[in-house]
This record gives sequence, C-alpha cells and structure tokens, in this order.
Amino acid sequence: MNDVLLSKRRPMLRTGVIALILVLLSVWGWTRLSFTSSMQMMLPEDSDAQKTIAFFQDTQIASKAILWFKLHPNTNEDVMYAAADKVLGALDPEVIARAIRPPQQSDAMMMLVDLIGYQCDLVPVETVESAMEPEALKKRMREIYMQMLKPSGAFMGAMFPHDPLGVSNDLLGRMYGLTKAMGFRADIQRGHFVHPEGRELFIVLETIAPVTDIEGSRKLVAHLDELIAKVGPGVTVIPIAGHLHTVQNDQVMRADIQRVAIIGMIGFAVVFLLVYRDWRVGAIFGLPLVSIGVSIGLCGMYYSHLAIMVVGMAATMAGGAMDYAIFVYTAVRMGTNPFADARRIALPLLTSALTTTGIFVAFMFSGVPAYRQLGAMTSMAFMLSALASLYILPAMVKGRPPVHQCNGPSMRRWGRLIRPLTMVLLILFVLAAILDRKVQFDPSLSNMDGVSSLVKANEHQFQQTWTKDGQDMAIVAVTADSMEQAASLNDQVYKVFHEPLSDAHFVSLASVWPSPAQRAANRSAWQAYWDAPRIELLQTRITDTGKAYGFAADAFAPFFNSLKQPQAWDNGAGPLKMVSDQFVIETGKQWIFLNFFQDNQRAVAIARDLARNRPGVQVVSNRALGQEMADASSSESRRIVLLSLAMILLIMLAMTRHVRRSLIMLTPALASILAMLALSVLTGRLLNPASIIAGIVVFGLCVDYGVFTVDAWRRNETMLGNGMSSVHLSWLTTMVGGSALLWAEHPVLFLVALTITTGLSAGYITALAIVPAVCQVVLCDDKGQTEGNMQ
Amino acid sequence: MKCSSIGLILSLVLGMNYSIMAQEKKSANPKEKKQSVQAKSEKEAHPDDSKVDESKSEPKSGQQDQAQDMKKEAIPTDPGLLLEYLQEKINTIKTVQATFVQTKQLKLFDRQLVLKGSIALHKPDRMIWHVNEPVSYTMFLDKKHLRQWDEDTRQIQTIDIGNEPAAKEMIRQFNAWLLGEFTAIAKTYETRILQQVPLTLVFIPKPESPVGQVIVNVSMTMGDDLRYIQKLTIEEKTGDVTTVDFHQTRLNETIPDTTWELVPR
Repeated sequence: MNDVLLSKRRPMLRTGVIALILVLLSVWGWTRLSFTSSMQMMLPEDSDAQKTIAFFQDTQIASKAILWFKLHPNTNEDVMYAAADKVLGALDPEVIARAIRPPQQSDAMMMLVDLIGYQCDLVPVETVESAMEPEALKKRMREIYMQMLKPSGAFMGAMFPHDPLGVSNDLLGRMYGLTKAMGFRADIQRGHFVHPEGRELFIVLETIAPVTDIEGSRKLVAHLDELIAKVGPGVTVIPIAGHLHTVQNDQVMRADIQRVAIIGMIGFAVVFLLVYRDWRVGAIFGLPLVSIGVSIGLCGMYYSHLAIMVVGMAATMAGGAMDYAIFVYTAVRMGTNPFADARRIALPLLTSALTTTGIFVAFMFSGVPAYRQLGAMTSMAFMLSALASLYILPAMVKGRPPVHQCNGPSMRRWGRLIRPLTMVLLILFVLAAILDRKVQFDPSLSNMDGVSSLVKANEHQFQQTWTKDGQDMAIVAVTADSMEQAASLNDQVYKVFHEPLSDAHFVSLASVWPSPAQRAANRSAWQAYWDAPRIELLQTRITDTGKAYGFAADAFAPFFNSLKQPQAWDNGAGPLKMVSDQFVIETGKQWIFLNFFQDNQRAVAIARDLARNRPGVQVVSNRALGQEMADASSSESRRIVLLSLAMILLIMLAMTRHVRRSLIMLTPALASILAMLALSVLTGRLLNPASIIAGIVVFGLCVDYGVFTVDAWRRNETMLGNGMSSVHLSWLTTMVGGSALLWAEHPVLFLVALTITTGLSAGYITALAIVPAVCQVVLCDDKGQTEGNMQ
Repeated sequence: MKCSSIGLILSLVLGMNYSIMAQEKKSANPKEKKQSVQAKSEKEAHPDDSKVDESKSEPKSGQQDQAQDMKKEAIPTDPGLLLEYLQEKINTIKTVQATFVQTKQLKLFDRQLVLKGSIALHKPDRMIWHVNEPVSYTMFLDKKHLRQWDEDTRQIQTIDIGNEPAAKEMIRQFNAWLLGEFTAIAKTYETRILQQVPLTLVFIPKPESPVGQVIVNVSMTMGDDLRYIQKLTIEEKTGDVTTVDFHQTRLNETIPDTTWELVPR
C-alpha cells in the first residue's frame, strides 16, 4: 500500500503540479472571500437563538450604552441632575447617535389630550352605540360631574369636552401602558429616568458602533470615560454596555497573547537548542500553517462568508497536524533515503491523519453553519498537512547527515518491563472513569467572558436596582418591507397576543395607534355612523341629562365639532411620536414593530406558541437566549461527539482492518478524555464549549500517539526510535505551547491550556506506559509472536 | 389649591378615573362606613402624632396677637427673600386643620360649583381632604398610598404611590403648596408680590416648566401671622378658575383619629 501511496515515478513533478493547482485555486478562493464576526454563524440554522441574535444585529438594540448616576450621601439632588445634563451636552456625535430621553410629564399630558382628538380613527364605532343609550349617558354625566368636583377636575376639564360618551377611557389607559414598556422601575424627573428614591438616575445612549466592533467599542469606551471624568464630585457614574465586554476581552486577550508568546518562544528556543538543533525544523511548524492558509482559500471557493472565529479555531486545531511533519522529520533524519523513509511510515501516518480528519468530517453534518465551515476547513488542513509532510517535507529535510539510531530498550522489552506501572495506571484510569460520571456540562458562554469582576458586579447591581422584580421585557417583533405592511401585521399580532399575555403586561403600539389601514377603516365607520339625525339625537340627550348638573350648552362642543370636521389625517405616529421610537424601528430595508411583555418562562412559551407559523413575527427573549444557546450548544456537541466516534472507529478499522489493534491505538485518546473529564470534576470547572474544542485537538493528537506507538511496537523500534521519537517530540513541542497558555488570564485561554496539558500528558503517559504493555499482552500469541510478524 | 399640578393630573386621570394603576377596590358596606383608614401601621409610623405639644397649638386669639407682632416686623420686599422668610415661618408648623369653601368657575358648567369641606395635614406626608357638600368625597394621602372614597362608588380605591411616579409627584405638589415648601415652588414658578396686606403672592409658571402648559397663574393670600394660607386661586389656560378659601385654621393641634377616617360617619 505504501508503494501505491508514494510511487517512485517523477514524484517531485507530480507533487509540484498538484501543489500549484491547489495554491492557485486557494488564491482564487481568497480573492472572493469575506470574513464575518456574526454570532448567527455559531448557532443552529433557523433556531430561536439564531433568530434572536439576527434580530439584535438588525435592530442594534444590543448596541445601547447606559450611564448610571449615583448621588453620594449628603449631596443635593441638583448636583446629580447637573452632572447628567453636563454629560448630555458633551456627547460626541461620531460615537453616540443620540441620547434616549423620556417624554416630559407635560408632553405626556398633551399626548393624552391630542390623542382624544383622534378618537374617530382609534375607537371602533361599535363601542359608541351602547354609550348613546339614555341610561348610559345619564351615568356618564354624573361621572363627569363627580370628577369635576375632585382635585383631578382641572385636567379633566380639558378632556371631557372631547369625550362626552367616555369611549376613549380604555384608549387612555392603554396609552399609559405604553409608557411602562421599558420595564424599568424609573420615574421621569427633569427629563431623566430617575430611581423612585430620587438619588439615582440613568441615561440611555444609542451608540454608533455595533457591540461586536472592537475598534468602535474602544472609541465608545474611551468617550464614556471622558464623559465620566467631566462629572464633578458628589456623583459616581457607572457605565453599563456590551462594548465594555468587547474591549476588556480584547485587552485581556492581547495581554495574554503577548505574555504567552514570550513564554512560548523561550520554551521553543530551549527545545530547539536541546533537541532539534536544525533550522529546517521550521518546516514542521510551517507546513500546518501553509495548509490552513490553502484550506481557507479552498473553502472560499464554496463559502462566500467565513466566520472569523472559525478561522481562528481551525488554525488552532490544524496545529495538531504538526505531528505528521514531526513523524516524517524524525523518520527522514534517522534514515538515509528521505522518500523511502517517508514511504515506510506512510500507512501509520495516513491512518492517523484520516482518523483525525474523520472527527472534523463529523462536524460537516452539523446544523451550525460555523461548525460545518470548521469541519471543511480543518479536514482539508489535516489532509493537506499529512500529504505535504509525506511528499514535500522529505525534499526539504534531505541532504542532512543521518542521525545515529538512538538507543533505549526495544518496545517489546519495554512493554514487558512496564507492566506493573501499566496496572497502576489502568486502575487510575478506571477510577477516573468512575469520577467522570459526575462531570457536568456548562453550555453558557458567560463563563467564557474575560470581563472584569467589577463590570459583572455593576451589571448585576444595575439589574437589581432598576428592573421590576429583576424581570426584563421580552419582545414580539413584527417585520415587513413597508411601514403599512408591518403596522397591519402588528394589528393582527396585538389582537392575537394581548389576551393570552395580559398577565405578562403585553404592551403594543397597536393598542393605541393601529395601522393606517385600521385607522382609515375606523374613521370611515365613524363618518358613516354620525349622520346629522344621530348627532342631533345625541345633542338632545346630553342636554336633557346634563341639565340636572348644570352643564353648559356648549360643554361638549369640541366633540361635536370633531364629528363634523375630524382631525387632519396623520400617516405617522401622530401624537405618539414621542414614544413611537421605542416601538418602531426602520432598518433601511425593513420596518420592525416591537411589542413588549414581561420576560418570564411561561409568557415566552405562550408567545412562541402564538408566533409559530406566522411569517414576520418573532419572539425575542434575552432570558431565553442564554438557555437557547446552551441547548443548541449541548445538542450539537452530543451529535458531533457521537458522529465523530463513529467516524473514528470506521476509519481506524478500515485502515488497520484489525479490531484489537485499532482499539489499542485509540487508548491514548481515550485516556486523554478520561483525564480531562476527571480534571473538570476535581477542579469544579464545568465542561464548556471552549474545553470541548480544546479536547478535540487533544483527542486528535493522542490518536497520533496511539498510532505511532503501536507502529513502533510492531516494528520493534527502540523507545527512542522513529515512532516514539515522534511521540516524544510532538508531546514536548505541544506542551511548550500549551503550558505557556497556563499564564493566560482570559478564562478561555486558561481553560484551553489546562485541557491541553492534562489531556496531552495523559495521552502521552498512556502511549508510553500502557500501549506497549497492552500490545505485548493483546497482540502477541502464546509463542510470543506478534500479530505483525504473523502477517 | 394646586389641584391641577401635572403630577396630580396624570395620577388622577390615569389612575383614579380609568382604573389602570394598581388599585385595590373594597366595597363599602354599612359596616365599612365606620372603617378607619388610620391603620395601626400609620400610628406606628407617626408615634409622635399624639405628642404634639398642646402648649404649642395656638388658639385664634394667640394668632391674632402674633399677627399684631408681625405688623411690627419688617417683611422682605424681594420675592425671593420673602419666600425664604415665609418658609421659615411655615417650618414651625407641624399640623394644620381647616375648613374650606372651594369655588370652581368652569367652562363645562353654566354655573359655579361650590364645594365645602375640611382638610387636615400632618407633616411631613399625611393629608386628608374631605368634601361634604354638594357630594361626599374623601381623599387621603400618606407616604406610601393615595386612597379615595366617594358616595357614588362607595368604594375605597387605593393606589400604591411607590409604583406610580405620577402619584408621588402629586404628593410633592400637595406638600409644596399646602405645607408651604416655597423653595421648591420657586424652582418652577416666578414669584410676584401682589399686595402686602393681606400678603398676596402670585406664582406664574416658568415658560419651560410643564405646569406652564396648563396653569396661567396661582395666587396665594397668607393668613395674618403668615404661617398659613388663607386663600388660593388657580387660573388655568382653559379659562377655568378655582378658588379655595380656608377658614377656622388651627395650627399645631393634635389631629383626632376620627379625622383620618376615609368613609365619613
């Protein structure tokens, strides 16, 4: 089979042509490639989580920033208002689009009065019929009279003349509900959202930079710091923004990378000086890098947008392909004929490469677009690395004088010597397996956030201080291409949703200001209903019933005038324009109407049920998002792990055609998983997506250890021969990089380091101390012949 | 009475009349007629209520003596200083009880509405407003709640002020006007002295203030000793005018428990 894989005929020319074609294709792929940082790519297609993230991106809702002003004890409230006004006056329009101000109380009042003027557009005429009845009118006149005697009478004096029938009462109630949609426990004082106790306020800022934009976030955070610095003594200002997470994660990552790079470089330099002492060893590191570069380009031929996060992960994982180059490098350095030496190890190398590739092929069956990209990119990179190691690396390393075969016990002797230790280690792994039953998976992304504890504490405190019962508001978003379409769809949503979600305080603009179509229908119905005889009848009845209370003859003139001459048509938000920003978003391509309700599990479930099979209607819940992402992450992880296992076993069996040998080859990988899970249980660190990704890399590397060790045993090489030297060097080199990450502060990098160092060490020890002994027991017959010798 | 303040307006319009604020309705059966809204908790909240020093409560004759002393005292002519001066005077008041006659000249009616009733205030945050004629109506305010009862509904309606910023604003406005928090008033209104004897001030809402959209002006006539309000007139932009004349004003006297009963006996 090796001869088939590495024919002696014109290998250089053929390899060169194939490599050139691949590079050209890759270059073409790179030219049409664009990168995206969209979170949507990381979530299952058409899942609720993906739709929610898409909504946040389209509407920029998550890009708002908040400045929270807290007054010091014994400081006058005026100081706080002055500080807030000063900050508002110093906003940089290049960073902040606008500050969202609450409507003034007087504006709110005027809104009520204006709204009544539109009652023929807003109130269905059916409600008028019963209010016209003499008994109902009598009751209404008494009600007006009573109200006018109360302290509220002054304002009612402005309202009653427009509504003698009381048909707008519900309308005003619903309008009041609109002002509560924000879900914050805040009063409106002096044009600010103020805490009921009066000593704290907050300002909402609409920022220009999306929360995923690192540079924009950096500018925003710097500007917020400038604004805060302008505030004098007596007030503490706390920024709350998603951008802080972006900036702080970036800062921590950068600092970590610098620190890790220095530590890693020192480590690699030591390894180089003590072990390799050959500049051409650079090819070992270069080949996987070139392979991933070519793979990205090749992926570009198929995918027009690549997730930037996937590129990073694929590059990390492709680092595992370094083993193939090390394997070939040691074979060539220890032999005399580079290509013949490479041919000798081609089968175990391809067994190893195909098995690891199988893991990533499993990713290509995922429902998550980014996982599919990761699968395609990494599979290609692994195979290209393996082939380049076999076909190109020997040409680069040849010419070097052969290194003397290192001494050490033969593998079989070692296998016999190591048996007592093997027994101890096997017992340890059994114990680890028992311990691993307690392992827990934490699919949430919050533990992977490198933001400071201060920011987290501030956010928690803000939530506790300002939200009602700690509850956010969820959204039913209605989207359409035009305002009219979206508004009409929103009317339907209001009709269907408001009753089942009344407990969750469903608030909709449609409850007060329906679509233009609905308003036009209401208006024409009013005009048809109020003919001259009916108007006269009402006037007579009001005069008769109002006499007892002394109502003036023209008390309700504004109402009768509006019947004859309705308010001018308003195609926009009418008197609600001050609050409509909160309910209507125009993205440039689409119109989105937002309806709010309390974000609790029951209400979200009801809303999701109602939204099902309604195109353009989407339920957005911040609280549910975390759970959805967690569910998506765990279900995908389960699927991929099962598929990967199946692929590994199939490929391994296909390549070795030997069940026992295949299982022994997988022992280091299995041991690495047991050790990683045991570490998770012992340290109390829950397994999360980052450790799973790192675990996959470790698994791939440990498969190599198993394959190379079994191959070395079958060839009866020494413990420092070609196969085992590859294992030693691979472990040493990866450990240098992996352990350097242990100095990282970012939780993700640290977790990756912990996983890599633990898993690799377990895999390496297994390859060293378990595999040879097991081979000795399982692969030798009674006469001491190996299965390899028998073949 | 500064009944038409914006906070009051929003609170009452939105809360009381249209029943959209959190509310608790209780039917007022005959037994409930005797119900007192002065819950134990309120007593606990104001343990010093019964301790108001009787010696400090001044009989009318005492007030007249003090008024004569006042005439001798130089009263500031600058409105700002005058408000500070009045503030100091009113700060000595802990409780107020009075009867009132409220006259409303409203465009909605072709005749004047005349209401008669009584008011009691206990600083810092308790007030009851009883109307006896032409209908029976009571409104009670404390730090946490606004309660009201009327003879038509015969129900006690309770609004939790903590959840309703508008209601809270109403309490602030009541306190500002009835308890004479002139410093707060001066932030929203421009003050002019209309006449020295009896001292009458006119408050004109600042153009940028929310009240300015509703109120033309508020005029206030002080009692002889300048420690209580004798007459309050509110002129609104709609042309409506409300006047409240206070009589039998008693200062710093212990307010009997029965005064705080929401449902009249």
